[in-house]
Amino acid sequence: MIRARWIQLGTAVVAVGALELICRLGWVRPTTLVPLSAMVQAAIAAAQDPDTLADFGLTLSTVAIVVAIAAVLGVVGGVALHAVPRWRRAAEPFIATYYALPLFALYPLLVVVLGVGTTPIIATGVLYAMMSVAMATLAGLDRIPAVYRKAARVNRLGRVATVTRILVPACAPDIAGGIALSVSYAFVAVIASEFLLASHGIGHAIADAYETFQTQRMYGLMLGLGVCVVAINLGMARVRAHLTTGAA
Amino acid sequence: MAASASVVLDGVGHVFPVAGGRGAVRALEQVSLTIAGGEFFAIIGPSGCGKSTLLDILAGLLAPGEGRVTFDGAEIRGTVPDGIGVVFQDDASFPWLSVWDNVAFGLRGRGLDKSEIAGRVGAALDFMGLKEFARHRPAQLSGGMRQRVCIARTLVLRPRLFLLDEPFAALDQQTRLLMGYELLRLWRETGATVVLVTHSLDEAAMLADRIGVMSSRPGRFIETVATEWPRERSSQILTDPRFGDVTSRLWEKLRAESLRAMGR
Repeated sequence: MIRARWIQLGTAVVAVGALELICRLGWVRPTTLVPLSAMVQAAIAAAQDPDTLADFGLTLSTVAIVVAIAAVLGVVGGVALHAVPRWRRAAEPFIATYYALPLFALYPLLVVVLGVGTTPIIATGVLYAMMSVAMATLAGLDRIPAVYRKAARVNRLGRVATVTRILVPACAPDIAGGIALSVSYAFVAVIASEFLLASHGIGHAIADAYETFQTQRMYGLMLGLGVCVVAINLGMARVRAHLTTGAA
Repeated sequence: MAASASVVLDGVGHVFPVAGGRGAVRALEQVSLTIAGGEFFAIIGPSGCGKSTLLDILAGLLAPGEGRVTFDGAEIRGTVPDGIGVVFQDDASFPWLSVWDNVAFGLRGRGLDKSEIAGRVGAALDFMGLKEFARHRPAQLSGGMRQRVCIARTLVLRPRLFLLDEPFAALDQQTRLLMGYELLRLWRETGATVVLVTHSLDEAAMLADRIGVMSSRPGRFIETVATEWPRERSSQILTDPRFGDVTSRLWEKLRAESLRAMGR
């Protein structure tokens, strides 16, 4: 364990050192890549800029809305598909090929239907994120031991109480895994949508920095975004580990 | 203490359809039995003879295809009636809840006030020797302790009829013996009727007042053996010559049925 930690740390130090060195020695052009120290400086500057903070806030709140909607729709959809085998059989080919569909191509259609602004971005994000929650919920429900359902009947729980008190908690680690995955999908969809068509948000700020040749700022924003995403994923991993330890 | 109850099975039969509509499997046929209130009754039989199906019917988890089952004079038909507690073979403790919350599970939503729930849970944990593990999660406990959690969860409901479906099957021999004594203590102190399904002849002979031997599928009772042990019994029974007589008699009946179940 300790050895693995040292290997991880050593690899990170070597990678960061190499990045810094090749940039400082001029082996790559500064318009292509900047040293990590310059990225950190730009990220700190961005963190002190109210407009950039507002962009971060908008993107994070959009992702939060997307994940919340995807979680609710995914859990409800997963429970419904599990409860009605006929629906599940009908939906299975669609579920299996869902992520092969070019969902992002629907973005212009969503703009036409929902108008310009945050709504089509949220809709695109939900389309991307909800299926991972639904699939994780289905997988979790499939794994629930039959004896739990018998225990529900012995304790004379109704249908709703069986779902809320036994089925959902029993597959909570799976649902948490699906939600963690949905966070990644939500970031991809929201940033990509902002990058292409929005007038605000961190995706738009990165695109703006790229188009105006502010390479250092672009990398600083990307670094800041990366730190945010990693922090959120670590938090989700801790929640999932807690639920999984309890359910082991 | 819970009042005792009596169970009557009259001509109970059950057939399971085979998936895809390709025939049917008759699990039980003409099962008739009366279990007196406060009696400890064990059921043994070859694998697949319908013991668990019979217990599911007794619990109200499965409606019998034929015949009638009554508990305290009221018919049981596919719904778990008040006063029946079931302990399953598989670990049914909920891993997302603490031991305390597991035991309190069935009491919540029954209109009991918090002090009543706390009192009952505390007493059940105390009875099962789990008080110091109240805040633990089931994953932190051994298999035997998790099964004790399940028994405590049933105990708090104060059932008049305990149904146990091979509850110690997954436990090692020493733990099985200890859990057997715990079960005897529970039976003596609650005055409840106990029906235990087991594969172990020794367990049945040591714990029960009467043992029903089931035939190979379709299951029915081919013999009922009375042990005539005193209610206050201990491990001394294991050295009693009559213990050997009981297990020999059970094995004599069971051997032929087990061979038949194996197709020999």
